[in-house]
Amino acid sequence: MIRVAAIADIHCLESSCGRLAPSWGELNESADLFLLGGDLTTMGTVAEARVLAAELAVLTIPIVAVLGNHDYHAGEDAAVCAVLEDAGVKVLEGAACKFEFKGESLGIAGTKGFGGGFAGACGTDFGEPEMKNYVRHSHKLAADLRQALTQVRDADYRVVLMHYSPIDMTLRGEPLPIYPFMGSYLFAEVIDELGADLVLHGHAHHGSEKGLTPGGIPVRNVALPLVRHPYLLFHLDHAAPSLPFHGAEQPSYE
Amino acid sequence: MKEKPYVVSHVRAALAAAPEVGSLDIVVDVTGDTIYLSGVIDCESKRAAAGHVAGRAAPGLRVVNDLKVLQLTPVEPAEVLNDTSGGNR
Repeated sequence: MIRVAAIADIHCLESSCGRLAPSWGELNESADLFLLGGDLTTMGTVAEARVLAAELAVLTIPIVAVLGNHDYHAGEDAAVCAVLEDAGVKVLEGAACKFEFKGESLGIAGTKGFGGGFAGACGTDFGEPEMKNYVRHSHKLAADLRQALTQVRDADYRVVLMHYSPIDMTLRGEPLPIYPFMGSYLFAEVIDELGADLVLHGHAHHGSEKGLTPGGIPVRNVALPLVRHPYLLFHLDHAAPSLPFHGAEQPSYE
Repeated sequence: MKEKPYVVSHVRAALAAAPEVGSLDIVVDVTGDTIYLSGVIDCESKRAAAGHVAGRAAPGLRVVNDLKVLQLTPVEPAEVLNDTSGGNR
């Protein structure tokens, strides 16, 4: 069994120091690693990233993160990554990493993800350059995710870490008109093709916590404003008995 | 005064752009000469700043700041996930 803790959408401000560290400290005992699903900062500044780095200093377990849209806003994303990497955080974008816990391996494939919409109501690589660029960004990141997930295909357990959502099921609660800005089915298609044990994302503050890809892989929206916990815990255990899914009904993609 | 939908959009844009707020999901409503802010926000400093930013973005309108600060709740027991990879390896 591998114990995964996760949270997204922390939205650190320079003034928000000390809010989460007291809760995160207990993860050194209760989790094998901590995953951060983007929007780690409010405006994407180095100063905000330093606040997060200070909060994470209480942790002795591995930390893996992807960035979110907020983390790009100030144009300091490379420096934000550097601050986090200096603090011991592995930041993934179209990349993977692998860990070994008590003889079992865990592969993490990470990408920010992007928008574009979901099957039946999505953007198409057609028309103005601006529209094509928008759609092609998602295609590129989905291709990068494919490569990353392939790299950890032999791991005992595999988790996909994203910021944007790969399915519309965990967006339910958000206004329908903004779904194309909240995620893209392209990522779910890759995940269903290559397989994973769990997909984690944030971004949808008003969405739903639980969903499934069309192929049946569990997706969890761990956005802090939605879950309202300092983190969520997941135990990945192939030996555990099967439990029925109690989330929302599987959506139709026809 | 500008039409209500434009005021709402301008206030929402100002709330996103302001470094001390930086929020994309504050609910903004305008009724008569009053702007209502609602929803949940990370911390008290952002809540207070949102009121000031909204007022500056729509001069002449009164701001009612009904934003609630996010209250964290205790961590729940772990969710156990068994083999769901579907053999797609």
